[in-house]
Amino acid sequence: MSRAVSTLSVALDRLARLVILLAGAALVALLLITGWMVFGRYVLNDTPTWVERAALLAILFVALPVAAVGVRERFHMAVEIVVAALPSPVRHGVGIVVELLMLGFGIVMLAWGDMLATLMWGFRMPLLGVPQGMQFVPLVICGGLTALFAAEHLLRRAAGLPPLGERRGGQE
Amino acid sequence: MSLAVLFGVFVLTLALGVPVSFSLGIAAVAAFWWEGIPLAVAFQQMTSGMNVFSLLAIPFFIFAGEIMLHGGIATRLINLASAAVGGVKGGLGIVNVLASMLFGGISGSAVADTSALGSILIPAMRAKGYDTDYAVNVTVTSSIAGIMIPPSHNMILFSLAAGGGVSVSALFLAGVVPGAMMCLSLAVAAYIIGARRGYRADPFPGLRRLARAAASAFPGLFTAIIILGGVLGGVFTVTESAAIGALWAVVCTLLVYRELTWRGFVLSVAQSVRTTSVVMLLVGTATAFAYMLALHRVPELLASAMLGFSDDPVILMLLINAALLVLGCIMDMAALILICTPIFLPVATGIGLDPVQFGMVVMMNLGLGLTTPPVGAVLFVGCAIARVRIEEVMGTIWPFYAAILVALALTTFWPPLSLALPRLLLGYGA
Amino acid sequence: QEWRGWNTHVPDYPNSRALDRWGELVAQRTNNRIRMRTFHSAQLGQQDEAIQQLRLGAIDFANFNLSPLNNLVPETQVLTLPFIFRDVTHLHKTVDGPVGDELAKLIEQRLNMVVLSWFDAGARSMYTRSRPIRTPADMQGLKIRVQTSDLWVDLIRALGANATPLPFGEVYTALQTGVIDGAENNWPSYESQRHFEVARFYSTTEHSNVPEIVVVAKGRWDRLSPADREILRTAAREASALQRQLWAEREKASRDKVVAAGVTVTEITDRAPWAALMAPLYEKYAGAPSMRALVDRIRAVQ
Ligand code: NA
Ligand code: NA
Repeated sequence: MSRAVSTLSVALDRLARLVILLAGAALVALLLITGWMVFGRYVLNDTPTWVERAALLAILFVALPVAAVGVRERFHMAVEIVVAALPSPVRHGVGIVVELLMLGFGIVMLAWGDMLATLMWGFRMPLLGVPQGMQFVPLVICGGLTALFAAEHLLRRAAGLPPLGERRGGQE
Repeated sequence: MSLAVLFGVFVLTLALGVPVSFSLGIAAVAAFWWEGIPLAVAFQQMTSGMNVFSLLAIPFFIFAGEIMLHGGIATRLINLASAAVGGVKGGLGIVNVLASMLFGGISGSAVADTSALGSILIPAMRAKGYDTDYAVNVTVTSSIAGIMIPPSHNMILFSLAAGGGVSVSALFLAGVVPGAMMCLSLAVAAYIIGARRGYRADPFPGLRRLARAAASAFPGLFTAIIILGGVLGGVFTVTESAAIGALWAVVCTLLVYRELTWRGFVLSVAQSVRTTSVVMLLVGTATAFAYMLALHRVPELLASAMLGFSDDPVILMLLINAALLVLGCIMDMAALILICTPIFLPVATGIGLDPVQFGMVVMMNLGLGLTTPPVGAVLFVGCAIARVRIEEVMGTIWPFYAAILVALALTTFWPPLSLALPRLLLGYGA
Repeated sequence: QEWRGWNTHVPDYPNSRALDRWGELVAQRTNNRIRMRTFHSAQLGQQDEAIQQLRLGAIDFANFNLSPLNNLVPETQVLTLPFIFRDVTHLHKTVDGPVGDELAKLIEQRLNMVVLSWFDAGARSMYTRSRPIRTPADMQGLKIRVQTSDLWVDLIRALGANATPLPFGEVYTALQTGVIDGAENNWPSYESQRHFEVARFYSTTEHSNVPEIVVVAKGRWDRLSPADREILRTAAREASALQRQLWAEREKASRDKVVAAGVTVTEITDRAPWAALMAPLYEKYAGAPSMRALVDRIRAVQ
């Protein structure tokens, strides 16, 4: 079991890196198109009207999948004073409950994100022309990845492997 | 009843150690389910909360800060600060404060400020015989300048949480004087304690060295000029100016300073998307949470309850300040801005406070919360850099907290401190 | 049963007061069986979200502007077309008549919401910061803020200006600092958003006059008895009459206020040269035979 989970972790590690890589590339692209919008307005006196909507859509595709990676790397800010005060066996149980909650929330996000995407797929987004349902696709990705990474934490616990990531005390 | 579910689930999951953003989301989903509202609406609100143009500025500011860190801008700002005020008694403490003002004038993040400047200044101060607790105390408290001195992505969050009716430019301008005053107050504390402890000062390096340090720091500082000049001069919107500023930071560190490596660039990008995702997820789930509050008219009810409790502005503002201080000690800044602003802003405007001034009160208050235990991101980062335990620095940090409280009191009860600059330069509220 | 309603305007706006009045009338006539509570000031989200919430059954009624519905029900675009109405009476006769009923039916079929009555949103005109607009030629090269919609972008471009989409909340600062040269809106928004402080030239181009609708979620509607439906519909018409009256008063009050504040108002009397430039828009958005027929029917309303 421990070997199988290790192999899974290696695969998920690659997946997490890929998400960061794609999101990073998208962030750089966003910077460039925002610069292009300013250039268009001042130098060409012809504002590219698609930029605003496109940027809003892109930031969802950057932020939400990476937020799921944060579940794996545990870089979201959490309050841990209460848990730290608990005796060790209770803390272990609480840890499992937390992972189960994240797993459940991920699945709910996936399901309802899919529902919203389907509901709005037939309508097009103004100035951009893509389906309005597109803005809910990041929820589907984030929900799915969150569930996957929470499941990985649970499997590693079950297999007796060391936990992944170290929670940062806080994030401003 | 669904409000009890909302708050109950939130507090419970938070205590269990679920990340704040997920706690907000899980609590919102539970309350929607209890109330019988389709869960899809919770996720629709999550998405729409993130779908705001001014929020786009946040990843750009964060990225600019990362580039400054990895590309040598931070070092040059420290050199400038130390050439300017290093000759005063307790000099490096004051250098630390001034460097925070300069750096904060570009990055806008107290955590970035602490990690960027602290990792250079704390070892430097120790090498010159300064005590570790003093070094950490100054570094940590002065980093709040990153939030007060524009640009500041927390001010963008405030404008968003206030319903978009509060102009980001006015908030940016309003932060300058209270921020500078807070730093002055901290510098005084640093001077008194430094002098009492007998820390040596460096000799003043002379005007020529100062000019050289200023010239070397200028291209980096130009980032701030682009961002603020762009917004105030009306050339760019906030989001555009953040993008242009970030692009300039890349050009500056790559071509002018030639210190930005490919590896540094990749690290900056990767760290930026991580931090961005943390902030954005918070914004999203807090929006779903706030929908439930709006549905049950919590902000209106709470505002009228508070205004019914007392109509004395001083008492009400002390009450709000106390609530923010306590909450700031146990919770994260961005989440608190998003949750508390809609609740407290109606009270503040109800007693005649300007929303922009109230924004400054919230910023400084919650900024202070970042430097206090048990939950204080900035304090944790500062202690981690110095490799000390929190208890080791807490005993001597009180004068610095007191210095910030003085600035906070002035910001709360003296409106012109915040409003004079936006009135003068933007015609705000005229 | 308690119904939740969505509205974007502040509580004392004509629309908000009319919606509250509607709720009172319905409560009275149904002996409080149906209590309607409107959440004003977009507390429950922006219009696009409210449309989805109505379809999902989270809210029960709403007052929607027609422009954001254009992408969902393209036929509604005919009412958004520039210079389609001669005046406000023409507009009222159109939406209260067979054309309005037909569009209402389409909205009901596509979006599962029942249109009960139509509100006014006023004629929109251009306002600028540095010089008045007298003829379409004056628009050349100006950066004009538009709503995020293809039709609005094309309208501004057809006038030779640079269409700049910008969130509504950023317009004041953008006008003040010169990120944009002008914007376009109705008198009440021009006044209440204080745009008149920073854009001192208002030209009555009245290039468009898009009505708003009052709707009930179809799920709710279908479960009502015929008698209750009649009560809701009649009360909605009465609320609509009140809204139109309040709106006209509000328009005049706003206009008086900005004129007193020293705004230069340029009266555009001859709109023919403006309308002439709109031919490509009519071709693009109402080119299909069915749409062209709708346009002709609107034009024929007397
Ligand atoms: Na800053
Ligand atoms: Na500092």
